[in-house]
Parts: sequence; structure tokens; C-alpha cells
Amino acid sequence: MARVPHVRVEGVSKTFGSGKQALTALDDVTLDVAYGEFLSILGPSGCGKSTLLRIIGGLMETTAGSVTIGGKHPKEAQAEKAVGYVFQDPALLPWRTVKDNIRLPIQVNRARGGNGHIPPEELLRLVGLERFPHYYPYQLSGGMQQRVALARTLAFNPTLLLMDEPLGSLDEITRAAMRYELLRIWEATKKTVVFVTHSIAEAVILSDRIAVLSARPGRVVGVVEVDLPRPRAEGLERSEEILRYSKLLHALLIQGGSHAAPAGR
Amino acid sequence: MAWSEGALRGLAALGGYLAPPLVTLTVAGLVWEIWTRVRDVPPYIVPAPSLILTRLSGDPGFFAREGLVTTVEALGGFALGSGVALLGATLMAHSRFMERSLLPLAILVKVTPVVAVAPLFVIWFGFGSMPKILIAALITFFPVLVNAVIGFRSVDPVAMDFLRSLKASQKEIFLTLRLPSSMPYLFSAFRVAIPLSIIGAVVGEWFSADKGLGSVIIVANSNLDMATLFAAILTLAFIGISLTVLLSLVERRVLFWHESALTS
Repeated sequence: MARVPHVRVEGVSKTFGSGKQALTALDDVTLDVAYGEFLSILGPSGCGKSTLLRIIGGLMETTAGSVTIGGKHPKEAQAEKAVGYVFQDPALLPWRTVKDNIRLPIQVNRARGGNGHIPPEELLRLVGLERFPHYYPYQLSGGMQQRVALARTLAFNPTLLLMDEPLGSLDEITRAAMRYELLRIWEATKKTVVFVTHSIAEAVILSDRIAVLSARPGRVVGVVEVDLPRPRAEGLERSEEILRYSKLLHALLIQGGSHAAPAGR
Repeated sequence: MAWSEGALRGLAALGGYLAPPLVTLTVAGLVWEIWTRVRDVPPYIVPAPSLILTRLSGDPGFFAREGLVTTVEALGGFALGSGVALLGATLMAHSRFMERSLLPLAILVKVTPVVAVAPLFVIWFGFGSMPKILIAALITFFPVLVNAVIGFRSVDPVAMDFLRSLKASQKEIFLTLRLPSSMPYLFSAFRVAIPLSIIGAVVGEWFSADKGLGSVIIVANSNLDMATLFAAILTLAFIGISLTVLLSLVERRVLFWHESALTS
């Protein structure tokens, strides 16, 4: 029996507008993500990475091609609360405490309970915020807010996590620490992750596979397997292997026509 | 000691906060008093502040009673006008079609001077408190409507995406995101609407009433009883200030999370 992929992206194109104003963001993108896999989508700014993620998450329609999640249409997967989104902006509700923010996804779309709820206390322990349930977002640092956003997405136990540069708004020091934090949480929950980033080092440290997108219109230039042992230890960004993968990925990005590719962050 | 150090410091802070406007008011009152005495201004043109205060303290029950009538009418109109406005805004925020069909009507209501329709309301709704409440409602309706529509639409797009990715219903999105997000806009509308509702109630009373401060003003005016007239105006000002302060207290509790509260 062939292994069925969790996410299947087949010949997806996306064009915004029409006529002379038409802008092709994605061109014939085909991609599979296995169950439990950590896949990164790497590409320069404006290559359509976020658009691809929004299409997978059912927030946007394709112009051509199709996406299935566990064999279902993304909208159906949404309705079943099978898709968990984490954005660059934590977008917590400022009038709710940390705990009440985490409860939000459980309070909406109650008809479909998803895969059962994880109690807020357990989630707070998982993201290391067990002492802050009654704090308000404005009392937390950016890194802490993003942890709450992650806990909020884990609360309804989605099988697929879609992450749109979730560490993008953090400072370099917090960002480096959060990568390993994210890995620890991913290893503890064993979910499928599609992770959008423009940082080469970040993609290598986190991923099982990396799909490199070209500059507009976004096409898959190549898929790189990251053959590094897990769990991945801190300090990986200064290792020989990272340099090797960085060179490889950088070459692919250049090939994809991105002159502004950020080198080895 | 009955007074803790904290309470004393709080009291001192409050005193420091209130002192400047109180000093200004006292000085203005004194100048006014001296002017009427020195120039011998007749009390049926401009009464001295001492005369107004004597009138107020001579029969405080009278002004409290009439003031209460006007306050109830104003608040009733405010509640009715805001309620209808919130309902309309909810429809308009969810559908551009509804907005296009309702907004011209709302603008028509806004541009029609309340004073022009007040006599009509008296004919339609009699001499009770109903026409006053309706006039107050009419005048508060528009600012609340416009702000609520903007407020219901001014949501964080990322939070919106998150709720959409969960297939939250329109009702859930409204209750968890749109309504709380609109609170800063609603409170600035209420700030404008509260004094307007008092104007509405008073104008209503001018046209038909034997109760309320509006009728007190009309009667005093025809009797050239300037002390009573000024006392009624002073009572109205007091009502306006009290309601605004009350609103600010509620606002501070509700909007504790907003930039406006965090920076002050």
C-alpha cells in the first residue's frame, strides 16, 4: 500500500486580477507533505509562499489545480478543525487573558469538536507560560505572545499546522531560541507542519524537507531533503552541515532568480 | 488613624486635579458678581451668581425632580437611539447592499433639524414623555450608527483569518471579534451622543411639557424669572457633566486593553 500524503498540492496556479493587470503569483506548483513531516517552503519575499499556504489552509481559492488535506477539500478540513494556522503576527485578542485567548478556538465552531481539546493548563506548560494564564497580551513580550498564539492553535488539536513565518517578527536572539522550542513542541505533538520562511538557516534547522520557490511567479525550483539526525541540538546554526545545506539552497534560490535571497540567517 | 497614607495621597491627587478648574470657576463667578453689582445690572437681564445660588439652594428638591424627569427622558432616548443604531450597524457591517439601502435613510434623519420635527412628534405622540424620548433617540442615532459601522469593520485581519480558518460562523465572528473591536469607536460615539440626548430631551420639553427642565426654562423665560432660568441651565450642565463622568468610568473598565487606556 502506497503511503497517502497528508497534504497534496497538484498543479496549483494562482493569478490575481485579470487582463493587463493580471499578476501570476503561483505557477503549476506540485507538492506532497507526508503525515508527521516538517516541510519548509523557502523563497524570497513576494514569491507567493504565503499565497500557497493560504490556499492550502482554505483561506484562498486556486485559479487552477487542486489541494487536498487527508483526501478532503481544504474548506472541509477547516470545518472539521483539522487545520491550525500560526501567523507572523500573533494577533491575540487584546481584551482576553492568555488563558481566554487559548480557549478561543474551542469556543467557535462547536458543532465540530475537531480532535478533542487540550486543556489550557497543559498547553501553557508545553509553551513554558504556566505562570502567566491571567496576563493580558500587552503585558507580554513578542516572543511570549507568539508562544500563546502557538498554544492557541494547538488547543483544538489540529492534525496539520500551517505556519506563515511565525518567528519573523521576533528579534534574532529570541528567534534562535524559539526555533528549538518549536522543534521540541513539534516532537512532543507529532503533527504535520508546513512552514513558510525566507531564512535558509531556519529552514535547515527545522525541516525534514525544504521546497525552494522561485521569485514571481512562484515555481518549485527544487526539493531538498535535510538528512540531519533528530532531535536537533542547539548551536546547529554554527555547524559544518548547515553551511553545506546553505550553499546548496542558496544555489537553488539564485537559480530561481532571486538576487535578494538572504544568505544564511 | 482612620486615614491610611494611600488614601490621603489619593485625596491630595484628586484635589490637585480638581483645583485648577475650580479656581477658574470661582474667579469667573466673582467677576460676574462684581460686574452685576457695580454696573447695577437688573436681575431680569442678568442675575448675579449669588441670586442663582440662592434660588437653587432655596428649593433644591424642585430642580432635582425636574432634572430627574429630563435625565430619564434623555437616557431613554439615548438607549433607544443607540440600540436601533447598533442593530442597523450590525446589518450594514455584514452587507454592502444593506449599507447602500440604509445609509441614505440615516443621512436623511441626520440632516433634518430636530427642532423642525419636534412639534410634529408632539402631535403624533401626545404630551407624555414619549415624544421627548423619541427626539432624543433621533438625535443620538446617527453618530452611534456611523461609528458602529466603522468599528464593526475595523478588525485585525489576521485575527479574522484565524477565525475563518476555524470555520467560525458570522455570529461567532461578530461576538468574539467585531463587537469587542468596535468598543473604542462605540465609546467615542457615546461621548458625543450623551450630551446630544440631553439637548433632544430639552427641545422636546420646550414644545410640550409641564415637567422637566426644558419646561422650567420656558416658563421662567416668559416670567422674566432669570434666576430660575439660570438655575435650570446650571442643573442641566451638572447632569451633562455627571453622565459624561459616569461614561468615562465605564469606558475605563471596558477599554482597559486599548492604547488610549495604556498610555494615559
